[in-house]
This record gives sequence, C-alpha cells and structure tokens, in this order.
Amino acid sequence: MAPMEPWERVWIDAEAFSEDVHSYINCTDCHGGQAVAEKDAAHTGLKPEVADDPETTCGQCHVDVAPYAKESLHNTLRGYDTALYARSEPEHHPAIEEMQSNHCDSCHADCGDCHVSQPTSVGGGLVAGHVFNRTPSMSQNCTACHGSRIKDEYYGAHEGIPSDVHFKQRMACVDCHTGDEMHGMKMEDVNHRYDGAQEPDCQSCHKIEMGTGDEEESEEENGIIREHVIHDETLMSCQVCHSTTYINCIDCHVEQTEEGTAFFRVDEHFLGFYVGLNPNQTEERPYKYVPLRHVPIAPDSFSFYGDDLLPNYEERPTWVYTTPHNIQRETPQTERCQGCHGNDDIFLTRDKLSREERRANRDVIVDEAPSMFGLGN
Amino acid sequence: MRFRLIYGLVLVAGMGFLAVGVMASGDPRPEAKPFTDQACLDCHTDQAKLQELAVVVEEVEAPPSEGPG
Repeated sequence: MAPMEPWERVWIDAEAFSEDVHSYINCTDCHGGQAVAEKDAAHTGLKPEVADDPETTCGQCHVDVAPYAKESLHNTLRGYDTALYARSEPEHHPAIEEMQSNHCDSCHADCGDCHVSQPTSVGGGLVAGHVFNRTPSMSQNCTACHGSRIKDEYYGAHEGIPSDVHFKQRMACVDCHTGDEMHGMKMEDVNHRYDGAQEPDCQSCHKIEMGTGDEEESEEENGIIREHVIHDETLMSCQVCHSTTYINCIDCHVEQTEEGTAFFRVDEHFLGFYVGLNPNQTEERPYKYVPLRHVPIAPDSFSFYGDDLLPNYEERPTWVYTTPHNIQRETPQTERCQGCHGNDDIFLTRDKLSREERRANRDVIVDEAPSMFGLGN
Repeated sequence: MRFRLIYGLVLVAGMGFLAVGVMASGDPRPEAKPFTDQACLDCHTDQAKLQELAVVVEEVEAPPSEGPG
C-alpha cells in the first residue's frame, strides 16, 4: 500500500465531510486540543488515539456497539494474551507485556482504524477525507492489517495457488464477516478468535450443497453433494476439503535496534497444507479433523526481553486450528477419495515434526491417514 | 395554501412524536452543541496550508523485519 503524504493523512475533504453527520460534532470533543488558528497551540492536548476507549468517544452516541467493541478481540488483542500466557508463568507477564507493547499492540484496532483512517500499523491517514465509512475499505482497512496471510491467500498472491473462489465472485471481507462479528456483539469472555459461534459459517450460504436447507428445496434443486452426506458434518471442517496450500511460519524472534526500533524476524516460512486433530473441539466446532497452520513461535522468541519467558512452551501446540482464505471448489482432496484416504502426505503425522515440537503438538498429531475402509485415526 | 397547511401540520405532528419518543426512550445520547471549532476545519480543509505546515518526516531506516508479519 503506497504511503500517504503527511498532509494527506490529516486533510479533511470539506465537501464530503459536510455531508457526514459527524461534522456536527466539535473536533475538540473527540480529538482534544484547542480550536485556535495557531498550529502548536491548537495541537496542545491533542489525543493521538481518539477511540482508545470507545465508550467515552464513539460510544457517546453508538451506545449499542461501543461496550462490545471495547471488549472485542480487535480492540483488546486478547487472543495474543491467551496464546502467550498459556506458554508462560505469571512472573514473566511484565516482560511479555513489554514485548507486546513494542511489537504487537500497533495491531490493535479501535473504531477509527476501521471506519475513518488507515490502521496505525500501516502509518495511519484518513481514508476518505474524514468521512466515516460504515463499511470499512477492504484494502485500506481490513487487509492493511490482515495482509501477509489472509490477503495473499485470498487474492492468490502465492505463485501457483489460485485465489479464493469468493474473491473470484468479487466478494469483499464484509460479505462474510458482519459488523456484529467484527464488533464482538453479544459476545462475552472472548479469549480467542475461535471462541463462540462460527461466524461466518459456510452453511449460512451453502445450505443446499450441504443438505442442511429446506428439504424440499434441496431435492428440487438436486444440489446436495454426495460427499457432504458421506462425511458427517462433525467429522471435519469445510476447509479440510476446500482449502489448499497456505503459508506457515517458523521461529519468529522479536528484537529492537540500538535506537529502540522494534523489529521481528521470521526465520523460515513455507507453503504447505496439513490436516490434523482439532485442538479447539467445541460444541460450535465439533470437527475431529481441521487444517493446521504452524504459528511463528519458538521457545526463545522473546529472549531479547528476558530468559526463558516461555517455560510452558509445550502446553500449547505450535500447529493450530486455521481457516485459510483460499477456498476452492475443487482441490486435490476433492478430486478422488485417495486424496485424503491413505494419503499421509496431507496429514500432520509424527515424522513431519522435529523432536523438539512433538510434545507440544501431541494432541493434534494424526497417527496415520484414515483408510478407505474405515475412519482409522 | 391548503397544501402548506397540511404540510405544516404533518411537520409539527412529526416533531411532536419524535420528541415524545426520545423522552420516552430516555435516549442517553448527549445533546448536540453548536459547532464552534471552525478554526480546526479552516486549517484541515486547506490543502495548501497543510502542505506548508505538514511535518516533514525524516527518512528513518526501515526496521529490519524479515518474513511474513
């Protein structure tokens, strides 16, 4: 994404903004500072992050959304805490928090990061001259943050791997990911992106193909796909058959330059597709098999901030439940039964893991691919 | 003339319903204040002025991050 000019980042499009109901609100009500002509005086007391606490700014009017948005994963980044603290101990939490504030917190998204400006993590800047977009811009908001995995997969940026079928249908992120989902509406105690109900749920649209819609309608359409009936819907997630090769990262390390600039280094990344046992089996996601993605973590990932900060490294798998955004109607798995049955190549078997990683992934490893004559493992 | 009268009555009735509805719902939203921050807008809508005043960001060496972020 091309960086914006310094003036452009803060330029208000008078004509467009005057049509926006938010133009009736005094600038200083949200931004602080002083309404005077002299620049330095005007900017004294300016709030750099307007919606850090959504309830005291946007929530003054958006009373139905702000309390949930404040607790949403976009705002709290609690998913990181869940993954990191489970691998650590309370005495290391201050060091972990310092690391997070330097390397992770810029990914936090408040109201403005989706509805007014580009996220801070990509340099900020008003998206449409301070007009509030009800629907975020896919490129300037959603994939500005979700760029390296989701964007590249969805657009088909990896050589030889097609783009997602939904992208080919010109579907935007918000066509599946609703505002309610993004704001964490009606969700409580959310600790992980896969907590709670499946949103989006493939079956919301693909009822006929799944045979879960109106029975008469399905018969009439004759659209039920036999393989969906044969494979019980609790046996595996849709992505097991309809996803394809995605990126996996190994051994991320975070450090700072001598000037204090935070940076990271992912030592290795590779394209692959591996099915394993579901580490997050819940009522909402009962699947036995799911695709697994290697996350960029190592026992010494944060050693710049202290020794042995992840003493419980083996308490969580390094291959985690994933929902790649490269959905295909046809994949090697759907081509023929042997695409999966008896095909150890696509399953995360013990031999694919280094000795150091086996214990952490003990709950997701598959002994062998299911045979043609039974479900096997 | 008759149209104006009807239009006026409808308008008054509508405003009345709206006022009653807002009072009944106990709408917690703050009352709109008059806009007084024209000085902010005068500057931030003036492209030439912003270009003149915009802070020139010094070229900082990009953080040496490597790999997918």
